[in-house]
Amino acid sequence: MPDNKKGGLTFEKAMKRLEEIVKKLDEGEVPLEESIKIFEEGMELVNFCQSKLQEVEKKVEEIIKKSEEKSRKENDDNI
Amino acid sequence: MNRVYKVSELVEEIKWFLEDTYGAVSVEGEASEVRYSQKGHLYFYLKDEKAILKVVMWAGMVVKLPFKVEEGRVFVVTGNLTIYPVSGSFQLEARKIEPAGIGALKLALEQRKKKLQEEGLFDEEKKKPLPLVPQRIGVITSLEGAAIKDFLKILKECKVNTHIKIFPSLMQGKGALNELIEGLDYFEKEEVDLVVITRGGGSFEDLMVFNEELLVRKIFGYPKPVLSAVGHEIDVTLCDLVADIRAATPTDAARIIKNRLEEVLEKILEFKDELEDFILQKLEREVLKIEKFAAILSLKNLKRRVGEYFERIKYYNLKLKESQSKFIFKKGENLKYLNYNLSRKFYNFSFYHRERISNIKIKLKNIKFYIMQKKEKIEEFKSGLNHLNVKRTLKRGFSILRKDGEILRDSEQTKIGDNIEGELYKGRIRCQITKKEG
Repeated sequence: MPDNKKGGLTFEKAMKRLEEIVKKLDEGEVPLEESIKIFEEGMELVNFCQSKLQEVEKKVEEIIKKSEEKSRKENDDNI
Repeated sequence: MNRVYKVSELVEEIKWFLEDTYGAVSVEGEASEVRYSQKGHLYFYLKDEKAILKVVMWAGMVVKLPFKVEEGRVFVVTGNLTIYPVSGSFQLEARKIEPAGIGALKLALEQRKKKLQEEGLFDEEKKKPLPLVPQRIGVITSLEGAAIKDFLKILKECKVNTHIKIFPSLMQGKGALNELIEGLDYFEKEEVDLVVITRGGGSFEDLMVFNEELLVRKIFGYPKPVLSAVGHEIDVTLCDLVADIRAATPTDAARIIKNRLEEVLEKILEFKDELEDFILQKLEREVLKIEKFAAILSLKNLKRRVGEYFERIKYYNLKLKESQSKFIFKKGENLKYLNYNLSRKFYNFSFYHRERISNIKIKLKNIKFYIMQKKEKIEEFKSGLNHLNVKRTLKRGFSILRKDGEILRDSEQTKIGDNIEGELYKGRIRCQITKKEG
């Protein structure tokens, strides 16, 4: 799980809320002021989700195991 | 005289004879009445259609058997024929037991699979779902194989960045089990969303480590989702069965992750578009509304409006006038109608009376005519009377007899005692009838 904790907001929660918002706006007449508020919240959530996705760098890491295990592995490989 | 043996002597002799003659034998038959003793010894019978043979395997050998001897399965048992003197029974002491037609390992796997399945380790409802964002991935695999290359190749193309941590591990043979467990332990503490165990295809024996009960149970109780991609499609290991998500190959495993990440990204962008579209449309509608109001409120419009009102007032005025004259006209019409009605009634009335009068006139004429007629009749009578000249007849001595004014011509008109009147030339007489003749 990526570290999504930011005032209790997780990626999953943000996605769920986004879905709700889009549904709400889609469903019926929301007064202008409220819809702007909701829109702003939605865009914040979009940014949050996007930044969460972008936070992770493209990285491939190899775990260096303890030296004895490494040497054992080398022995195994030599067999 | 035959030699008389002691029981133990004879049984012992046969036992030696059997052991010397046959040595090691292999016998195939169906297992029945299988019993594992508390000490771990194994007892059963091998049988075919015609005979049965008692088999025993001592505990020390039983522990080395990877599988359990099952009732009804056909086995090839290798061992020594002997007699157990205490019971005097003839039996095969087994050193090796192999299932017929199937490898011992395969049978062992079959039995283990059945056991774990019954325990619920492979139940779908116990599996964890693929994380919404499987972005930090722990991979347990060999660095040498093609598996990791295939896996990384796909994820390199992913539109969403991934952080991949590889725990190098033996993927077959001795030591593989320990390293796999170690890898799982390692990622349990690391911040990863998903642990992938992957290797390419291999022989049944190569993949045997992925059927180890220890590994299967470790994965079952693992706190994070585990994706297993071991071997090829046909090589289904217990590790595949117990894993939360199963992929056929390392490439497939990477695709599952890539698809999920890209789906999520797409969904976010979709939400973004929908939000923007919605708010733009909403604002556009509001702007249109405002423009409409502005247009209504503009000065030019106001002037036009006032003009319109004037026009309207003019129109109403005209209408009013029109309706007034119409009203007067209507009154005149009414009078005319009334007049007409009256004159009509009068006409009808006078016509009726004229009719009546003329009728009366006609009737009067008729009466005159009638009177004239009567007069004529009277004249006629007068002259008739003259012609008859009754008096002259009477003068000649004739009389007229009347009864109640009626002239009598027949005696039958009277009865005796009737009073009759006689008119003579001069005067009248009253007579009573006293006799009737003829």
